[in-house]
Amino acid sequence: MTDNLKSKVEIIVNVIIAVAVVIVAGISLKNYFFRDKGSAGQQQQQQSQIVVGARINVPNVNWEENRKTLVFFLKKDCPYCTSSAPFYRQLIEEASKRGVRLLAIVPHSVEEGRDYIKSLGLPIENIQSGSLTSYRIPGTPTVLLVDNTGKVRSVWVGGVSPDREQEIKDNLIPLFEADITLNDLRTQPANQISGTPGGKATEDIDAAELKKIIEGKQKVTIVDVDQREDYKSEHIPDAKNIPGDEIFSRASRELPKDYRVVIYCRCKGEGASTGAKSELLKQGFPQVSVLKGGLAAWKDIGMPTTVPPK
Amino acid sequence: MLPKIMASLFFSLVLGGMNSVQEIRGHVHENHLRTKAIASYMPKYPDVAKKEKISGVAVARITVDESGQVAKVEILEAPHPSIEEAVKEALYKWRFAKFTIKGKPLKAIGKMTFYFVNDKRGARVENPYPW
Repeated sequence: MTDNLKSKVEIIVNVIIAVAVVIVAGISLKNYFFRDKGSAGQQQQQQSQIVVGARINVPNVNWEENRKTLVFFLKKDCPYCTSSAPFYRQLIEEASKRGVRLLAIVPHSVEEGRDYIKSLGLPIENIQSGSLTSYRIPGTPTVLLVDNTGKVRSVWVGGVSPDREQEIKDNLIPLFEADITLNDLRTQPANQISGTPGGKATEDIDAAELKKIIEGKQKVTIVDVDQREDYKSEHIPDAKNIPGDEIFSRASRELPKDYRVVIYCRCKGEGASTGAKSELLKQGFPQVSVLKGGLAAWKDIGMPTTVPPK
Repeated sequence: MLPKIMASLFFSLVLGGMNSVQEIRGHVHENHLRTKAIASYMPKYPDVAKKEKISGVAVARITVDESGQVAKVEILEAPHPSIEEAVKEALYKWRFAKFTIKGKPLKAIGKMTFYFVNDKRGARVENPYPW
């Protein structure tokens, strides 16, 4: 009787253990296969399309050479490429004004791509041939903005309908600017700067006012916008020489934005100074003034100049 | 009548002169130059300049011929002779898309700027804003 009961208990215990093992194994297998499959799928999906923040490599393209590059992925016989071309022309115009490099990648030969892009009226000179899938581009047209580290900063996939044009402009064009300039503009817009001693922030000044600014030890950078030969022959002491046609390239790097900038030249009517002032205001310099009468006015009030030793 | 004759004489002289030279030159902005670049090369930071901790801006005037090749490089400003050489060497390798005006090839003249920076991050050459 006792043996019979013992064997029955053993059988029940074995059955329970077997059921438990099956359940645990089942759960483990489910977790192993289904959960992993799910995450692998997500990863695959994430990798299937280029996203903001991803890095992109294009053979023979060194991103470091330009702060920003606008990359167009286009394909012959793509109706949305054709219908979006007029908007892309506007975008290219804005990009070119801000020194953004342009690049087009096509799945055909470079020659075919060049003809096609020309037929669209897009002024893109740098054209590369490449498989769109290798760049994880889901379709054409696609426009990417890539920074100087090769990181994608903006992605716009598909044709551009008229109501989408403004959305793209609003989001993409501000990114054409160098980040530091954009931030500076955000924190210190030129039209909100109040007047400073020695005249309003962007009002032109005469030589006596410049003298006062220097004597008052205000933060000021004096910029001579004439050519190097003129500067070398004579200039206002401590003035920095950036020729007018170099202001666009050099100002943001060489002139501190928290200093007032006073520009002068030796030209009649201050043409070079006015042009330089306009460029500096565009670049977000909040305090820019032209010295009325230029170097001659400075000398007229008896102020010294620096001349090379004879 | 006389002004008309003078004007036609002036234009024929100018245009005749241009045809005989068959060369159109145009000054282009650095922004335009850089956006037309097909192949660009950064100058190398010369070892001697690195050693001597020399840094600063280098500005060159380049002439791009009608085929898009750099025909002439003239250094306008550089902090060291070795940097002048490095900038020249790099710029002669640049290639540009052809510059044209009304379909006619143009010899383009413009300035190029590079910054030779030597700070805690090391010695490197950088492009100016906004490139």
